[in-house]
Amino acid sequence: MVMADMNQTDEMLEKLFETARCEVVDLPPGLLARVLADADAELAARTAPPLRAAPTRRTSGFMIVLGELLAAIGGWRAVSGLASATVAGVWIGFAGVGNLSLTTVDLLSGGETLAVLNLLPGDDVFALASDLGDFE
Amino acid sequence: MAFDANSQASDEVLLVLYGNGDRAAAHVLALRFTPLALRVAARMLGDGSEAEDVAQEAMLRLWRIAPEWRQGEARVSTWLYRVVSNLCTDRLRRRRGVGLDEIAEPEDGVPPVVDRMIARDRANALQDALDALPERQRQAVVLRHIEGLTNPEIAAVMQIGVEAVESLTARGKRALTALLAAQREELGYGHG
Repeated sequence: MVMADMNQTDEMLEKLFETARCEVVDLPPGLLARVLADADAELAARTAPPLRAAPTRRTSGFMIVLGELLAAIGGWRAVSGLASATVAGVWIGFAGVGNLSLTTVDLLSGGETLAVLNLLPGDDVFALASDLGDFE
Repeated sequence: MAFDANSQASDEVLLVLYGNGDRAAAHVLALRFTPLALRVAARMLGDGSEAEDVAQEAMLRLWRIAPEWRQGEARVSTWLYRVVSNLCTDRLRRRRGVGLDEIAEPEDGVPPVVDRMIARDRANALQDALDALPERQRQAVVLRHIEGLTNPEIAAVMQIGVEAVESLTARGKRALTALLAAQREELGYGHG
C-alpha cells in the first residue's frame, strides 16, 4: 500500500471511529426493566430479615425448657409447694408409721369385714348390730 | 433521596448509596451504565442478542459488588469496562470451541468481508473489520478509539501495562487500515 493510500485509509478510519463514537445506542425493549429488576432483587435479598432471629444473649437449651416448664405449672411458688409435699412423702416413707388403729390395720391388711366396709347400714343393720356385739 | 437521570451525583456516590439500600440510585446508575455496557459488548461480540445478555450480566455484577465497593480504589466505569470485556472474552473463547461444521462456509471466490461490506453501511463495515481483529487488539481499539479511554485507563481495564496497550492499539489500527483499504471507494471515501 502506497503512502497516499495509507493516509487516505487512516482518514477514513478516523471518520468511521468518529461516527461510531457519536452513535447513540438504543436500549432494546425490556433490557432496562430487567436490569432494574435485578437491582431490586439484589436489594431485597440483602435487606430480607434472617430466617431466625439470633438470641440477644447466650441461653442454654436446658434453661429455656426449664423456664417454659415453670411457667406452665405456676412459677416458683407452685414449685415450692411441690417440693414440700415431696420431702414429707420421703420422710414418711423413711421413718415409717407408729401404732395404727384397728380400723387402719383392717384397711391396710385387705381383710374385708362387714364392720369395716358396709358403711351404709340398710337391710343388714341387725346383722351389723350383732357383729358389733360379737366384736366387743 | 430522589435522583433523576441527570443527577450530578458521582458514579461512586450513587453506587455506595445503592449499596446502602437506595433504590433511586440504582435507577440512575442503570441509565448511565447499561448503554455503555451494551455498546462495548456489541462492538466486542458483533451480536446484539449476546451483547444484551452481557450487559445485563455486567450490571448484575455491579449490583452485587455495591455493598463492598470501596471509594477511591477504582472508577465505576473502569470496573464495568473490565467486567464487560471479560464476559465478552469468555464468550468469544466459547465460540472458538464451535465445531467446524457449524461455521458458515465462505462464498466461492469472494472474500467474505468484502462481500458483506457491499450491502452494509459504514458503521457495519467498521464492525466487520473489528470482528476480524484478534480479541485483545479489538478490545484495545474499541476502548481507545470508540470509547475514548486513555491508555492508562485501558491498562487498568485490561490489567496490562501501558506499553502493551500502545502496542495492541497500534497493531489493531494497522490491521483495520489494511482490512478497510480495499473498501474505501465502496464506502464513499475513495476521493479523499
